[in-house]
Amino acid sequence: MALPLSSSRRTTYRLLAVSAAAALGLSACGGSSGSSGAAAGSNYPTGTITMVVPFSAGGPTDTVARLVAEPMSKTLGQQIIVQNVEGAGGTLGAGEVAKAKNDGYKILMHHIGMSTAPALYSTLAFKPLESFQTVGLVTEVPMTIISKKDLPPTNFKELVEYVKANKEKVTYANAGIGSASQLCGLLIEKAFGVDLTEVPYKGTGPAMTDLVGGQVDFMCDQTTNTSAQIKPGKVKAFAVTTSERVKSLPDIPTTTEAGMPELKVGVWHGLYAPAGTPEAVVKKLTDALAAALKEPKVIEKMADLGTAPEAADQVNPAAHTAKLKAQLDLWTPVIKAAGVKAA
Amino acid sequence: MATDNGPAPDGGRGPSEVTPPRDGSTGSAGMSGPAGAVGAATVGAASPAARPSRWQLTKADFYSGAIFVAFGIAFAAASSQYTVGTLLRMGPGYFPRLLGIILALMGLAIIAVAVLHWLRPSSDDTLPEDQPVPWLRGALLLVAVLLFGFIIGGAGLLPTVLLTTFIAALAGQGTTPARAAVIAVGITILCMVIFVFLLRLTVPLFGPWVGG
Amino acid sequence: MDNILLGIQTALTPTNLLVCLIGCALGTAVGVLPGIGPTATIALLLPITFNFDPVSSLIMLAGIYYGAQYGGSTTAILLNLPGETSAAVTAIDGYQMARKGRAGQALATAALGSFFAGTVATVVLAVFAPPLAEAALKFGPAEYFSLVVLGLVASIALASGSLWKALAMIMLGLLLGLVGQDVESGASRFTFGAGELDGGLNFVSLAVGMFGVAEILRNLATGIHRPSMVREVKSLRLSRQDFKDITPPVLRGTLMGSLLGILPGAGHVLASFTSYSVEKRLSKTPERFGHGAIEGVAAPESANNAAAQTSFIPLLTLGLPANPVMALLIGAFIIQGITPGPNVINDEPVLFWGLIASMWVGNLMLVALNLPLIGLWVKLLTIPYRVLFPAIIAFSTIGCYSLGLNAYHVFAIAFFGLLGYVLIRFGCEPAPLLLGFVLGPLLEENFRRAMTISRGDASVLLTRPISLAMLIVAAIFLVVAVLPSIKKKRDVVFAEDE
Repeated sequence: MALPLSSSRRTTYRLLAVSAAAALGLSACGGSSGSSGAAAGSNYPTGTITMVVPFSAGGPTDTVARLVAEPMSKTLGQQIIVQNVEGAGGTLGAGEVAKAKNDGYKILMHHIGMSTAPALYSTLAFKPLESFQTVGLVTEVPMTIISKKDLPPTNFKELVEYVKANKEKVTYANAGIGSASQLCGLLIEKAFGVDLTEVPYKGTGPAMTDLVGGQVDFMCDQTTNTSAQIKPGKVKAFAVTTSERVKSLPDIPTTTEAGMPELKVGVWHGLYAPAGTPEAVVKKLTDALAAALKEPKVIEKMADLGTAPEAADQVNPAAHTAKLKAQLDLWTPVIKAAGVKAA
Repeated sequence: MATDNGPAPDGGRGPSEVTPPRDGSTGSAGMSGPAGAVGAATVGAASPAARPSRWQLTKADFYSGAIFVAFGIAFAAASSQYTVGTLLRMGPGYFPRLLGIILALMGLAIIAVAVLHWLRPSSDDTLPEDQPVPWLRGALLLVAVLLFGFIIGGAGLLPTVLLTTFIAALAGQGTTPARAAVIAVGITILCMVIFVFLLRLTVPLFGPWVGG
Repeated sequence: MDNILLGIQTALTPTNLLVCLIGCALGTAVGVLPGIGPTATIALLLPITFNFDPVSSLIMLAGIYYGAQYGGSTTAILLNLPGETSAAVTAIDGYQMARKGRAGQALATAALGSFFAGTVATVVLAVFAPPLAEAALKFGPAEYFSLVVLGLVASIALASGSLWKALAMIMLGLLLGLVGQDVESGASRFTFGAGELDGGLNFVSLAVGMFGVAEILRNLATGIHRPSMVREVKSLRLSRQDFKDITPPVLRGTLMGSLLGILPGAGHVLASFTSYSVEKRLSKTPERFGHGAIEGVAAPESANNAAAQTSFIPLLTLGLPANPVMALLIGAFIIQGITPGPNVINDEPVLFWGLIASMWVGNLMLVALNLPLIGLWVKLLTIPYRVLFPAIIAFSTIGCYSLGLNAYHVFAIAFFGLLGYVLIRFGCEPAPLLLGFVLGPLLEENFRRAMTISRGDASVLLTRPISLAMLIVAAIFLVVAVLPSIKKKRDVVFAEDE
């Protein structure tokens, strides 16, 4: 096998030739890896748009982002690339977009975490209301209160009694600091008037695994994550945390029906651009988002996740900003009171 | 091996470093490493002919033990700023403090074994491999990696890869700046083909510093 | 039986064969590139698969995943550059084999071992998936804690040098694994205030630094273009003796990998490390390990590939992800309009059985793809080192940066390259540190979680039968490991006294 060592230049050349050939071969196989050179009519957009998701790929927010990114690309005539910039509970990705050029080529898909970050993090690279231009609300994923299969209570009322009777003996699983499940847990503690024993996990996956395995007693998480386990009866579902029942889970009562209207929480998602993005650009993004949310395919897939696109009158900057303000006002005191700190 | 035909200057190599041909052939108790003097003072030029000195035999253990002690203490000390809690109700500081202390103790154990070894060298000991430290080349390599991290956000992928690969290539034995440039250009093209064209990496080609 | 036929029919349609091939080829390619792992690739390619039907898209994504497991061993063997947790173990003996001119044999062993393991694990997946998944659910925090303890104890055998140094490296690894945000309190530990480190250090940076960069630094010192590696490559084929040597490790590795792979979180990681330790323990000549023992490549590679296949079990039967790649696949399922969960096996038989059948087809393709490639890979070694090492640096830095556009992952390469170089120079081997790094958070989290759930009652570790059994095995391991070394030390002491 001994090959004579040739001169550096020749080898460099050969290396390049081989790799170029390999590259061509691979790209031929890869085939449909997207066409970037699309015809751009008006000024914006003329190039690829990056949609930052401040969480890991494959998570619920990433799924929502990818669901709307595809039809939005079609409307705008430019590819939208979803980029996952993880870390520090979504604040790193948000910070990245906050300091990006305000030309509409870098946008952010964020969720409820935008309204909890100021309370959770003592130092933030952005201010939710000032660093961003809201584009529109996307969807609000309902949450479900579920328990392991063999927990005694059979309905929400019994669950409340059971938790009140057993107090800190009941274990509540959450997906970590600042996660939707932790936020819901804070509201549950307030509504039930008990201190739960919280068992934190790194993400929803392991938390759900232990709940299905019966290692922990109950949790509250997005229908995106729970419906797969609720339908075949691997976990018990007690209530949904929205004001109306969820279409894909029609048998589960709402917390309002069960007499606890204050226990209302949904993981709302919104699209943001950096502050100071030109109005015309924001308008185009808003329109593309609104169109995407009307696509039957998007509606259908969101239904599979147990959620639905926001009503048309919510998909605009004004409604989005109002929601963000209201949520900041709701969560900041709750989190501060509970003494939860992320860093 | 000790002679370097390349222009990549070797002057950075530690002056106290004794290269193998010089001490390997004579088998003298030649010291290497910055602490060589310590060994020389204690052992003197005692061991005759082909037997490595006690310091040569044990210095790796002394050094590694010291590194572990340092890391252990650093982690244990840094843990004190976090809540410690109890064994059954651990705070964020408990586990790292415990592990840090254990690590420091293990470092001490390694040093203790080394001391015993130093006092009683056994006949079948083999000299650990002892190559010269590539001070300058190594520094170039690590600087290239660090520089990548510092400028990638501002300069973008293409300039960053070109520059850092050039610096890294300079670390090569006998690589002239001109050759390094050729290598850097070649590798950069290869990387662009693979990462940008094929994998469609979302890193911008040109960052804000260069008008991207 | 009908189901298996259905699966085979699905897997053998021309479209699915093609996407399977693309997936495997892509997976191998990204596995070979250091840094870019299957997670990043699948994340990047998710949008492409929107255009496929669900079965095809999942076949392709799965192909990328196990293809990458295959490819990951290639650079570990040739360049001491593991891109994946499991490949770090392969690098120990694989790279030494390559240095001795046996790169071809090492690669062939990896390919054949992986193929065999993949085949067996696919059968396991097809036949036992539901009951195995249920069994895996019996593992709570207490069981995981004991499993990790067992894994750590077993890993002492990883080191071929000083026992103390190996233990210290494990401890250092455990500590490094704790860097980042504490799951329970949210405190950012040892991050120097950098939010970028909240997610912890990145395994690939650590592995690329400790193995790859440290090795480059060593080679820069010797100044020889390529120490003897190229000239001595005589034959690429496995000899009869080689086959005899690798058969038992492959069998044992497959068994351990198939079982451990089912466990979410820890299983896949432990599979290759543990199987290596077991082989070393069972070997009559354990001193060859770490110096190019072919068994040290065969066992972890088989275990790794078997675990890669069976880690689909929790996903397909329960809808629960066993690792980040599986979490990503859940996203892919959802985008395709399929809710992964216990219903998939009944509601989507074409998908379930088609995917399983495609895994076997994929494994066959990988062998067909990789065996002829071995000659080409080995030729990689003929590239002059002064061209090769800057390329390694470029690939590694780009790969690690692309993981989350986080420059700290790049800084970490330099830091661990230097640390690895220094520690290796002082006789400490990097593999135990890597294992400690992966297991550190698992150890802490599961202990704290077990204590929270039991309300501070440490006896759960002993009253839960699976946990107790594993702790007993760990204790036996420890006694077996420590006794001979104490005895040996005594002998030495006596010998010196005379």
